[in-house]
Amino acid sequence: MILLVLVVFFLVLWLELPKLIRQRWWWELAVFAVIWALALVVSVAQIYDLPLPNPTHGLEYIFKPVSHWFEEVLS
Amino acid sequence: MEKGKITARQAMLLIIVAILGDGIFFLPTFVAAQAKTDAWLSFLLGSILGLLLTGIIIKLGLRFPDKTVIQYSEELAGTVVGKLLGIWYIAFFLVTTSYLTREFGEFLTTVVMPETPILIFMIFLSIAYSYAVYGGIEVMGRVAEFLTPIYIFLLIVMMGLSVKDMNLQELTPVMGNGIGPVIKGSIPPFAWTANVSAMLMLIPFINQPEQSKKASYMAVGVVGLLFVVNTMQAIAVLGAQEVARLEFPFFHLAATVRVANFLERIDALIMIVWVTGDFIRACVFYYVGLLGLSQWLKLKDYKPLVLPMSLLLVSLGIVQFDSIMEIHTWGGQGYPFYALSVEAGIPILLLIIAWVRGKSSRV
Amino acid sequence: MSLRRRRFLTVMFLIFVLLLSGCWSRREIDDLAIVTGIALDLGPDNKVHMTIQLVKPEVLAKRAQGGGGGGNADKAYWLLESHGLTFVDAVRKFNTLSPRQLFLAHNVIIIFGEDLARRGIASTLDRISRTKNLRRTIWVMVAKGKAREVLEAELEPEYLSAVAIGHMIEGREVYSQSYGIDLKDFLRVLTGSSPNPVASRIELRKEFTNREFWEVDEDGQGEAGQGEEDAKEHINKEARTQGREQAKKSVVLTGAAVFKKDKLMGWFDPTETRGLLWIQGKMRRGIIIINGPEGEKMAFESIRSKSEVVPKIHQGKLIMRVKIDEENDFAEDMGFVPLTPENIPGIEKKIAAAIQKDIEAALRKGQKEYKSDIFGFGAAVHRKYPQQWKAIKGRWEELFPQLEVQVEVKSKIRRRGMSTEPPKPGGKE
Repeated sequence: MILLVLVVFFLVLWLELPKLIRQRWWWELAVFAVIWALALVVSVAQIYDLPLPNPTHGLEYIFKPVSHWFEEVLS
Repeated sequence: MEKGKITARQAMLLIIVAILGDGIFFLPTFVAAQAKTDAWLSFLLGSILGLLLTGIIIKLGLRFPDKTVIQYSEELAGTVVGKLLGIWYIAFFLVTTSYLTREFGEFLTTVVMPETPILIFMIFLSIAYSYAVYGGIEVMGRVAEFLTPIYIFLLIVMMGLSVKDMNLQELTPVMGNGIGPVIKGSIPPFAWTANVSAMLMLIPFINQPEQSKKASYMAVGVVGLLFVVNTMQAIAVLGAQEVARLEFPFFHLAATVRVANFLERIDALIMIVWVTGDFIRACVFYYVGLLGLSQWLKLKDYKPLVLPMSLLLVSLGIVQFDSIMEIHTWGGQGYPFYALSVEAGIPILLLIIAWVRGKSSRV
Repeated sequence: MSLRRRRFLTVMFLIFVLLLSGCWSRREIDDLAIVTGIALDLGPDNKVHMTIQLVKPEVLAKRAQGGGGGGNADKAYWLLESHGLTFVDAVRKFNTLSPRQLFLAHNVIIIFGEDLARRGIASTLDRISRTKNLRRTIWVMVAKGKAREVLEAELEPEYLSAVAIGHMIEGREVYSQSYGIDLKDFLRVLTGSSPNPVASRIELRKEFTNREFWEVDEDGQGEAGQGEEDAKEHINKEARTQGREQAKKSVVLTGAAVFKKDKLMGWFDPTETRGLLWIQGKMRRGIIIINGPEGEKMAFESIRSKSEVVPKIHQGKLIMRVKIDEENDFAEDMGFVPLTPENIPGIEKKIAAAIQKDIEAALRKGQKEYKSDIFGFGAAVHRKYPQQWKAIKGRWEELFPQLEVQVEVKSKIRRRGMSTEPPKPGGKE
């Protein structure tokens, strides 16, 4: 599994990296690298069952109370 | 950056499916749980609210017909607030793409192929939408021009075939519990029709921006009509309590079609509708999110980000939910409010600022 | 083609080569055991005993070609039985018994045994409605006795009893003395505001008889003539001598199984079933027999009907009004009385009275005896008086048996078939 994931990730590198370097789009390259690394971290953490921050839980934390308040107002 | 142009018609077709895509499958359950037999009224109310919001979005968009919301939000609200609003908007579209990818897999594993790992479906969808988004807005416009009519045709065929199974009495009493549940139930449909806020990113790429007004109203109108009719049918055929109980009511609606012993088991068509709908919806959301992000970061092109971002979205799609129950709880309760904070909150706020400051890029 | 594009295509190509070679959830037809019928019984051990009917496609194919001759040597199906604490347990256990994987999407009927139905079927239905391949167009029925036996019935000329029973239910509308409901409607009723569904009733025919299965005499005059008795005796004897096996195994589909919530309360006979169909507006076609102006029997075929259940609050009291409009064809005349505009109104009244009798029979049993609101009166109140319904909802169980029901039937005779008068011997003077 981990091998497969790495293959996919390096395929993406192979597809995109040469063009970015050739065109000297360094800022684009930086953003690309950050997203790529983030994705890799999330995937690997997922495979090894490591704890990850869950963005949805954050959103839930904000919007659940809104939803509950709304329920109460209308019932 | 994007140099392509689409017609207003193509934008309309994109928006229609971008709203219906998963909405027609998931929403009746959320809404019927609240409004019971009045679920169709909730959809009606939600769609009307959506039409009102469309007015606001178009007013704002046409003030800056050559810019996207990311570009003019800074101009309107100042750098810091503008940037914050921008990332709030972008994040919504990207996060929703990730939900969509997950939903796509959940539906197929539940309904068709339970043994297949969900990741496989998610990867296939992400390859498809990455490819389309790579192609740019023109490609997506043409895809929509080709697929949307087929999509709507299939929807109408399926609805037409279950007309004879309807028990109209299931739709009564109308507002037996007052208007409260109807309003409560109207939030998810409103949040979905509010997806028309993707137009805030698309308007600069429409060859005749003025036409986007008519196109947006048409899109929300068509969606509202299909939503209302579909919900009425689902309730009349299956019963309100069943709609609230079923995982995918629209699927059951199609699966119960039985015309004179020769036309039955048309649920395979549902797969076409689901796959097409979710694909186009994901394309629109991914495109809007990605283009927004690259404008926000002032990149020269969004294309280099397509692949790594889709990797991130797929893995986030897996991480964010443990089970379909979690998706439903979030999708029915918190998510609509989150969506509205972006889709309605941002345009309303920006339009007010634009009015107060009298700003417009129109000559 | 740019280099990038070519690279992208290469990658896509590789992915497809890897993944298109096979898929996870594939199922080949010759690995599948196609289920056509499911029977669920309550075993002595309080477990759900599940019997399924599986198709042997090979036999069906052979028979379709006309080869191989008749004979019951090779049945077109085989039955498997398993049991478990729950439905899903029983279903999965089949994989320990069957060389092929179960395929449920073509299932036609689901039969509950009487014992199981009396105990309650909500939990079983829950599992059924979660199962992805079981479609909601399958017919729900209750067997008098054991459900398993029904699957063993032989119904010529069909090879699969489950499929044959499915056809029988579809054809029920010609006579309308039996009830048919598919899973989707059963669940719709069960989750609605009058949660008392009705299902088909099916019974294995134990002996060969030419008598009506239900011993019903119209007008209470049970005059089974001596000749008729003899005929019955004769046929029984014949059956005994030549076709006993065959005669033993057929089924009859009449009446209805009445539930209260998810528990079976009892049975409706054909008359009561018809009364129920009238009230629910599900009557399609049915024969109505009345005594004509000169005491002879006349038969009419009801061809079209409409029913309306209207609750009314009259001086603080809830009254149900059942209004029925229906149209008839003149079907058969045992005397030789032609229909004329003069005698038609009187005959129409008699038809209406006959229908009213059916309805009252259904009400008597459903309302007074079983106390189960299968007629949907509660739902009708909910629809018309949603506010008041909230108040009486909790007490509906007590209120319902005392409910006053007014029945109004309007009958019309429209047509008379292909001849104007009966063929009177010697002709008309």
